[in-house]
Amino acid sequence: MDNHDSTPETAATSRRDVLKGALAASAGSVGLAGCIGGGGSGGGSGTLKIAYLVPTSGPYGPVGNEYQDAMRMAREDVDDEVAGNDVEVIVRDSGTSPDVAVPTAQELIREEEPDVMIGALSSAVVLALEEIAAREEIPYFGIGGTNFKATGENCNQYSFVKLASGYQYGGAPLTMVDQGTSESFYFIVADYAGGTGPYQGITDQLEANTDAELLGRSMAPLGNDDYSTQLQAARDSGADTVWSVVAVADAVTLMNQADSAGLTEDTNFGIGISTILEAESLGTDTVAGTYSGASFYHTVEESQEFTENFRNQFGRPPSNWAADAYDCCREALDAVERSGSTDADDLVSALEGNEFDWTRSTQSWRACDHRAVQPYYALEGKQESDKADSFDYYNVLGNKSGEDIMRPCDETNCSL
Amino acid sequence: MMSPVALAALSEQLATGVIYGISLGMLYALIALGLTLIFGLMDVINFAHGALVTGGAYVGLVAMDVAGSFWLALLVVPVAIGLLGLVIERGLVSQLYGENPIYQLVLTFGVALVLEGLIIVQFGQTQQRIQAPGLLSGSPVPVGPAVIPRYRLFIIIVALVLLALIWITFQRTKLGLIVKAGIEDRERTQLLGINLSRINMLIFALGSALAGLAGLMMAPIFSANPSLGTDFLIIAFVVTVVGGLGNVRGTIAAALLVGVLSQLTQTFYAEYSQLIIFLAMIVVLLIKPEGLFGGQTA
Amino acid sequence: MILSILTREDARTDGQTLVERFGNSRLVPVVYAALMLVMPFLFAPGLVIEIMILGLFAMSFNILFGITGLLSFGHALFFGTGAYVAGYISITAGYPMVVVLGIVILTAIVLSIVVGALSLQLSDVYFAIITLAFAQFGHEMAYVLSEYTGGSDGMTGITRSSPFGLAVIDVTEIIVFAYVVVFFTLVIGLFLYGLSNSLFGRTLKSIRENEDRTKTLGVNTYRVKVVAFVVAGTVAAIAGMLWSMYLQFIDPAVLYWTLSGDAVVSTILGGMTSVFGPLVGTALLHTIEDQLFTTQPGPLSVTTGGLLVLIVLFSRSGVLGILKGVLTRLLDRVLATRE
Repeated sequence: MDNHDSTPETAATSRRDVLKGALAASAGSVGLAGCIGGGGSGGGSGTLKIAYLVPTSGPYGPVGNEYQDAMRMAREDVDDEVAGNDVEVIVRDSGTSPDVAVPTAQELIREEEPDVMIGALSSAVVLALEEIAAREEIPYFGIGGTNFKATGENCNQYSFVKLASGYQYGGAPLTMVDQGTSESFYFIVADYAGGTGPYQGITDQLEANTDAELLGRSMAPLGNDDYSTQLQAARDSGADTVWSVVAVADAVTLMNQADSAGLTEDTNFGIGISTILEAESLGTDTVAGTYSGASFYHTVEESQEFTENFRNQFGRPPSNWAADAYDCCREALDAVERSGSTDADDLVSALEGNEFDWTRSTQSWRACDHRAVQPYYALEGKQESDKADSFDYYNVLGNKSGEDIMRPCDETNCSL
Repeated sequence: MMSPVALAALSEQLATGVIYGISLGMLYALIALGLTLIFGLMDVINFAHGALVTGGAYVGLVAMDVAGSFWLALLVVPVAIGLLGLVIERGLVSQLYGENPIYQLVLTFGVALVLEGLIIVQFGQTQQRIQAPGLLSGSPVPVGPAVIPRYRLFIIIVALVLLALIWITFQRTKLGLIVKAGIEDRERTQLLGINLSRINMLIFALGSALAGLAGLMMAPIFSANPSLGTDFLIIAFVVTVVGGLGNVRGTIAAALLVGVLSQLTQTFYAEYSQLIIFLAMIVVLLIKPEGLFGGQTA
Repeated sequence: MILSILTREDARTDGQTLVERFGNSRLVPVVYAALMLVMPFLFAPGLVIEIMILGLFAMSFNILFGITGLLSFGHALFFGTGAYVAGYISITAGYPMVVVLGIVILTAIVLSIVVGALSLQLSDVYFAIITLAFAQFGHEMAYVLSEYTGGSDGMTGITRSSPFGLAVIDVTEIIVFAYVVVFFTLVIGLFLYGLSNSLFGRTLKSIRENEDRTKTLGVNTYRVKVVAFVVAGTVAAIAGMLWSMYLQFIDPAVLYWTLSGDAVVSTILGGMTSVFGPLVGTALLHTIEDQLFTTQPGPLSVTTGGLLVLIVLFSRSGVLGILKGVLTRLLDRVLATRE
């Protein structure tokens, strides 16, 4: 499920300005922590320039904050100099849609000549930035991009995609079947690639690996806020588990309406990615008894060290967004360290196949399509009385991981 | 012939679609009614109407934070937004009466931008949840073959009562007569010595109050966010056009029609539902510009 | 010496002030041309390109709004169509820019004849609403036809074809492309300037002032308006084409009504009474955002809206009009002290 595809009608304000590209583009760089390297154009003369393109304002501002906090921590966890280079960090607003992100990225590349780009939230933006990365030959890490195309037809040697793919989302429903919680499924699917892709991925997996009954799906058109028909269809299907693949902004609305329709009580209602940030918007009462999935959850044992450090620095545990951003930033810095260079091709070779465990159990960058090999957890919302602290929204039910929940290399349409 | 099971399922889908459609249509009616009256009487296309809807949701948010009661918010919001509408009318809109309506459109568009901007400054852009009161939440209620959340029924009932009150006022009272006359023929009504500027104020305030109330009522379903009203505004334009600008009964009927149509198309032709709405609007405008139910001539 | 020239009697002949005479003279387009040609050197090329393209779009909108008195809230339809058509052609066939331009123009003419002929049968307010409906319809089509448009993911990989297929003009270099865009905007801007002062342009203005009277003069106002609509739509489509080549990416946002709203704002701000006003307004808007409100959509919206309200109420000729007024009064004072 792609949570961050641009949904124009639900965020008309961000749509308002095609002009905004210019404003973000010509804005001065908003420097974060990290030493500002001396002069030198980007490329290897002593300064490693990393550019972050994240939402700094607008509806996804809070996610953007998570990203920035995590990447700041990543930068600080590493030595001042990386393979003899100073590190300069440049942050630009990606907005929530490509018509802002694309001119911003282009202007950024022209002005600053970064060595590495990290960012983007929505699938559409990731796809567009991948193109730019390939054209300009700059290694790029997509923190968004559930869309299959990102590591399918659109893949290229310079782009790496961290966020779990629609296919990997299957990890949560698969876990629930394994544990006997779910025997039958109905899906509510946002009617665009960011919804249909993950729907495809999840159902393919369920069909291939389980006996679970797939009782159908209901499409939710973009720009529609009223899910009553879809919820009714879900109820009528008789499935014990209703799983939704819609954008995150819509997920909150969907959950409210599902709650109001009594569906969250009568079925196992899942909303794909939801950890701390999303649960905070929904409130414990709504979250309790519902399900979600994520590629990271802070109570998991292998994530304790990262969680502790993050909590000490920021006073709250990291969300999955923070964890992904941290991974990408550490990997970028680590690749420079290991290869001893800031040259794009050297970095790509250093990254492919590399294993890392900065935030959770071992992950890696799959060589055939540059998608992150990672775990995917099924989460169950806790009742207020069971919460250990105010951030403890979910129980981890279990997980699937690695290549089990990925498309086989030869089926991806990516030829790297 | 359909099997009994399939028939039952279909009738349930239809019933659900229709009832949800009516609840949606009621919200559209509240918003469109203000628009159509304001245009009918003053020749003003109030582009700020959407921002007033959004404002209603946020004023409601504040009211609930302060007083903790949804019911209180239901009283406070229309008054507050009605007053806001009054200020806008007196201070800004009335300056441009008699001129080409496109200037009014631009003016109200500017007002909309200002209001939306203020909301963003004060509340940020993330969605905020407004909880319906306990009485209206809880398990859904069976209505015929369908099962409907209580809140939806609440919307239908409240809107119905309000619209009925307004309709009766229009039909039975002297005030209503004046308004209708003003809509039908402005100049003649003024020639009769009636001071329309007070009526203008009243109608603008009423329209705004209704818009604000609609905003509050839709917030528990759609969450409060700065573009809440703007999304609905476009559809409200469709409704006023289809119903006939200035035609109260037509607008209400059109609102229900559009609401039900959009719900049913969602159930059966989800991909094309938005497309169909705009296509319908274009067709109506071309074939019967005065609206399906008659209104001011184009 | 210069002042004495100014104080000569004929500097004030036939009742016009010096500023007015300048404003109506041939010098104006020359000044604009000079400014525009110099801009890519003074400012970031990306910024210049955006101002030029979106300014061109606003200028096309103003043909309908300021000159003819028609408010079209669906102008984004043509911008978006130009963008998508150009993008689609460039991906499927690598024609040089002139060929793409030709196809875009043809498509725009056909589309604007259809939409214009239908919409212009309605008056004023209904016209605004039906154009809005057409644009939103187009916006939805971009999703329905996602096989061709890429749907919500948008269309990526649009190539920037060189003007005549000649490699010597390397448009992948941003400053070269900036000049191509400036060239387009300038040429079309001058064309519009000439059009506005021609018989056709004066007819349009006459329709704006009083359509009935214009009809009694024997003018088929409907046909004239359709022609204006076609010109406006075609120019908008060309702007859209340039936009898709600039970003090398297009998504349905180019068809959403808020883009039309931006044109309205820029036009009012800069001055709807002049041809180049919208361009000035676009530059102004960009500068305001850039310098004051980079990541603050709230205050930006308040400021923009506030300016819109003030201008529509007090100074309909926008910033340019205000400038003219100030200049006139300054010169008056200068001349007065000399007497």
